[in-house]
Amino acid sequence: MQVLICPECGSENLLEAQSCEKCAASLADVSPVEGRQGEVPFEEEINHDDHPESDLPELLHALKQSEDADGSEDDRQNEGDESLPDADAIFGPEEVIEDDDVPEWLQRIRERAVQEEDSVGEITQKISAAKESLEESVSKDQRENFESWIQQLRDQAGQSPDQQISADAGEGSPDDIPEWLLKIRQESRPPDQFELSEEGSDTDTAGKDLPGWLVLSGQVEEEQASEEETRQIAVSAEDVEDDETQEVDTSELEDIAFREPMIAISREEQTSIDQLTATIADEQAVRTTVQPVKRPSIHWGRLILGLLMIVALSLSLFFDSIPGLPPGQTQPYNLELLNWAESLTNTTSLLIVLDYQAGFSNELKVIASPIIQNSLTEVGEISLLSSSPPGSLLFTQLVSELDGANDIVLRDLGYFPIPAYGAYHLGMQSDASWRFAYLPQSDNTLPSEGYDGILILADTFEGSSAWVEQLSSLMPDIPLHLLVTAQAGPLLLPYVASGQVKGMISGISEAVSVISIIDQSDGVSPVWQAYQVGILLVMVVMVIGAVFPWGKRGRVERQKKA
Amino acid sequence: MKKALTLLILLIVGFSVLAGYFFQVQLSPLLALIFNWGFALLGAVGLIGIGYLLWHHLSRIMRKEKGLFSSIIVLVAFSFTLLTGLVLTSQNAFFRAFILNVQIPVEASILGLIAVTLFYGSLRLIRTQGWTPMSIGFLVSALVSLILDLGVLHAETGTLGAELIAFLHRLPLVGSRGILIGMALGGLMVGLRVLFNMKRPYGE
Repeated sequence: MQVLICPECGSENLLEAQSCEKCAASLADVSPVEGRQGEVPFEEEINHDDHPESDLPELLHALKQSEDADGSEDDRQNEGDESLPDADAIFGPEEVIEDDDVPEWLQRIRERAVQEEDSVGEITQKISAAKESLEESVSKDQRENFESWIQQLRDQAGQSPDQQISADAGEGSPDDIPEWLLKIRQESRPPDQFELSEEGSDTDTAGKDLPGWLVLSGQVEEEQASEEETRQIAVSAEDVEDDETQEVDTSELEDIAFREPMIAISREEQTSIDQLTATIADEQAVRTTVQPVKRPSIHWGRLILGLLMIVALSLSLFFDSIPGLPPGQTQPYNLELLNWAESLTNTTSLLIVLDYQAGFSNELKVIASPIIQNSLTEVGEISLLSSSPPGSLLFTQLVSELDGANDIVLRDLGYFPIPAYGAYHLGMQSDASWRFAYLPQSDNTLPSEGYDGILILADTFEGSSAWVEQLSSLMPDIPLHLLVTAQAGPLLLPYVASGQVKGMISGISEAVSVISIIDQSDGVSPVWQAYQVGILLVMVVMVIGAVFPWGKRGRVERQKKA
Repeated sequence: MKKALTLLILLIVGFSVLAGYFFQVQLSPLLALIFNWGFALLGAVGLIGIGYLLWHHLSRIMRKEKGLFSSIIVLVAFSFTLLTGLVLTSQNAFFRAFILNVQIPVEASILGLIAVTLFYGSLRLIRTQGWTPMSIGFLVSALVSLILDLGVLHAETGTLGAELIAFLHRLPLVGSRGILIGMALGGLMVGLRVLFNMKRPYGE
């Protein structure tokens, strides 16, 4: 069938048409061409396909092309496609597909998909996004085309926009336009476009310069306006007669203004949507997970090594292979303490400060017992001051196991919870010229004449240093001596070097060297032997562990560190 | 007002204790009073702590919560120790043996575990670091200290060996002096900050 193509808007017209049915442009010089087969009528095309295909997003193009390809090969498939619901029909809350062929699980999934927004599949989301972008692109294109057309008119008239609008207003004043039409235009268009659209609505005068899409829009608007005006007149006539208000159905106006594009989904796409929805529902289903039971690995190497060390230490305690203690490397401060202890007499007033815990009592017993047994039995009375809760108990136990313990008189002065408090309180004893009246006094007062010497038994540096620092500053004339564990000894060496401490013995090794001098080695030899065996074992294991870092694990740890 | 009162007490006590080092005879009664109050406060704090501990275990027993058996043991041991201590005093041989034969093995076991943990940590240090100057230095210094502690190295006085051993014995003195100087400076700064109200460890 031959048709005439409009040079202005490109629409097809019948051969006998003198002017374009859409834009009213003249078709006098247009030569006929062959029209498309089975083409829908012009009005239907307007209604069903308002927007050009170039505005469709890529996804809609892909869907359209696949639909066209399928349609040419399989008509039955096309029929099925037409019967298929669109995405809104699938996921919309109003319409749920009621099909006997749909299995029950799929029906449940669809119902759940209606309730949960997240379960909408990717295809449906793209379709929704395509709809939104289509609306935006249509309005944007219309606005751009309209502005370019207005610019054309301005250029032709050579006038400013304000002058042009005022001139137009003089020809056809806004008072002639019904109020309801102004409201509709205000709601449907931007404010800046409203005044200009009035100018362009006169298609008879400026239709020659108007593009096709705008002519079409103007015709639709005019039809809409004429219908609405007719309806309004009829309503107002009825109002005059009945003096009542009646409602007018304006749904047709909305249909004309914008109609959503029809998107057909093929059966394969529907199947994919169903599978995707089923997969999402399956992923969100609650399941009980069974954790694999990991069996704890037994480190046999460590176990055997630990057992060997325990056995070796135990055997060294029971088999006394060393007949006597070898002469050690006695330090000068060891000899200083030894000389001071041997100088004590029964008239000496001695204070022993106890600042060690029960865990270190065996080490301090090895260190202190020879000194106490060799020298302190000569002292008549020994005052005890403790800054650890079991201090006095531990020292009483230590003394009770020595020979000649019955000759030693112990006077417990109590417990100070903080060493620095006790040391300061002890150092502040002096003849005061004034006192507070009515204060309770302790029965165990410190001797006002002071002490001839102070011996501190401590297991940590912190405890012993607090006593040393306070007493050496508050009682500088009284000699201080230390019997401390091996862990506290090295840090206390500066106090010895500075003269704040007169003598010190720290650790079993120094104690053994002193014992070898005073020949008080009863019961010390097995302890010393076990001590040496323990140190040897530690050295061997340390060297083996450093040289052979146990292969894989050491490498893994180094890699992690790196 | 509350802050000002706290600050006033702090300043009076702090400067009095500090002045006691210089005017020992004159201020000794005041300082004795301050320290007696301090000891009384510490005793009260200890009693509160004991009461809280007892209440915690009692409430656990009453509510039949997890750890019920341990709480019963704690309460029974505490009650027995308190009663025997009040009746027998610390000079009694039975009381000493009862306390110390429990306390010494428990604490010695804990110390043994700490020693093994530190030893294993030193091994891991070498394994993770690899052969670096720090790990080599650590290993060598540890071995030298242990060899010296063994007491097997002896030398005649005045010889080079004796001097070398004496030098190795003096080595810890160097490091400990540095540590002590740092601690002293830090303690001095903290004390001054507290005295001049630049730091408030007593509240807020």
